[in-house]
Amino acid sequence: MDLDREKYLVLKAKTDASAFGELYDEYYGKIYSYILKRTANVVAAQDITSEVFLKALDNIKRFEWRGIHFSAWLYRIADNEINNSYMRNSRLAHLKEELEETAKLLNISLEQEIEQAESHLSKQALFLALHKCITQLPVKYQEVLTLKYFEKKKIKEISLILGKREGTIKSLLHRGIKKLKTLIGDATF
Amino acid sequence: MEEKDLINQLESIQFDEIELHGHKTLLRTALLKRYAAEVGDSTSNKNILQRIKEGITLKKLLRQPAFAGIMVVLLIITSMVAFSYFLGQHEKALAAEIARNSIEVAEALEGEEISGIKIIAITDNLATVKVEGVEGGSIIVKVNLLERVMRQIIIGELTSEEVEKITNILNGESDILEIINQGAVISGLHVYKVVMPENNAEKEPLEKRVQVTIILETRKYDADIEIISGEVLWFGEVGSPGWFERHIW
Repeated sequence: MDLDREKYLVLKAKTDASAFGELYDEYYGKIYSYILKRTANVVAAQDITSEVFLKALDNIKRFEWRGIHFSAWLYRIADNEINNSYMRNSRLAHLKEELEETAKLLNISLEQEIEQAESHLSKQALFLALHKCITQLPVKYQEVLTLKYFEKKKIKEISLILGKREGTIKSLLHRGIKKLKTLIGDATF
Repeated sequence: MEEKDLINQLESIQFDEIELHGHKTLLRTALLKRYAAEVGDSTSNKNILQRIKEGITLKKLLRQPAFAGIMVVLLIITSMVAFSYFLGQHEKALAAEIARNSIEVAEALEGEEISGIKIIAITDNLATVKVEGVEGGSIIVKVNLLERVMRQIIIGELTSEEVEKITNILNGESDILEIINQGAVISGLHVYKVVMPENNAEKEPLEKRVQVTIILETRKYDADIEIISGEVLWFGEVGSPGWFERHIW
């Protein structure tokens, strides 16, 4: 989505549900995918994605374009939720119940979908091996390494998402790789 | 494993997107239901006939000769607005650059890395800039855009009466009171904007804005308060403590 369109939709979404829906359609996959790469857990990623969009909905009216794109804002919310150790709350529990009830009515099998996603994930052997090591690093390295190598984001994009200078991102990546290398040692994947 | 090999391995990972279509559909429905319940949105309920009707009206309008004249006027106004906008953007970028590279700012932040710069106001070539550090510290600075130098660094101060007033304002806001009753604590207060009457620095300020940081367990909230009017300008969750400053709105 180009920036002008995104800006227009964000402005419109403050008073128009369909505009919020369009933004949701655009970013659901990207945000879910990022969270999955950070957590390597299909169900947790699903819950965190729900929380991210609930928060986005709660705060869309207050969102102002101050040098940060809407998509970067979503990534930041996602980062915050992941770093909160997947802390769940009663609001999310209520939402989950609501989704399950609607799923029954619409005859959508969430379990089957989760099983398929988990099966797909389990085949990503190299990713899972590296992810296991990356999660042992401090969060600041997890964030930059995931965004750079799993999400294939450019330094500039990572800088926008994390709200840090490009120089800081480069330095974090450099140190992150060194720490990851030390952690892996002589092991091969 | 060599560092280069590790980077190659990381770069070689091609992760096919996994999308949960069922979850996506259900969550979308739930979110839009919430949205509609909160704002009573009308536009989302527009039917196709209404949309077609709107399209036809616009087409008709575009064919009117008088419309061309209006368009010319609009074009001139738009150009003027765009010019002012770009000029404003240039001034903002310049102010941010001067603040970012200032030794005085680095010293005032006591070596804390800068995480963000916000331009609060630009008047008469004097920019008021808020510089935020990664560990939550922040300072307000004034930048002279003509001379391209730092004019002064303001670290907001509050009187005990003002602190008391802030407490009353916080207690008067139901959302804030709710989290305070849950055990939230105020972890920081800082003045980020002061508007003085023109040509008389001795007078009382016209406006004084304070950012209040509130911590509830692992959650962090900010409340922006205008002390003079007693208004809560904004309140919301911004992240967890220790997590670097991320202003998401």
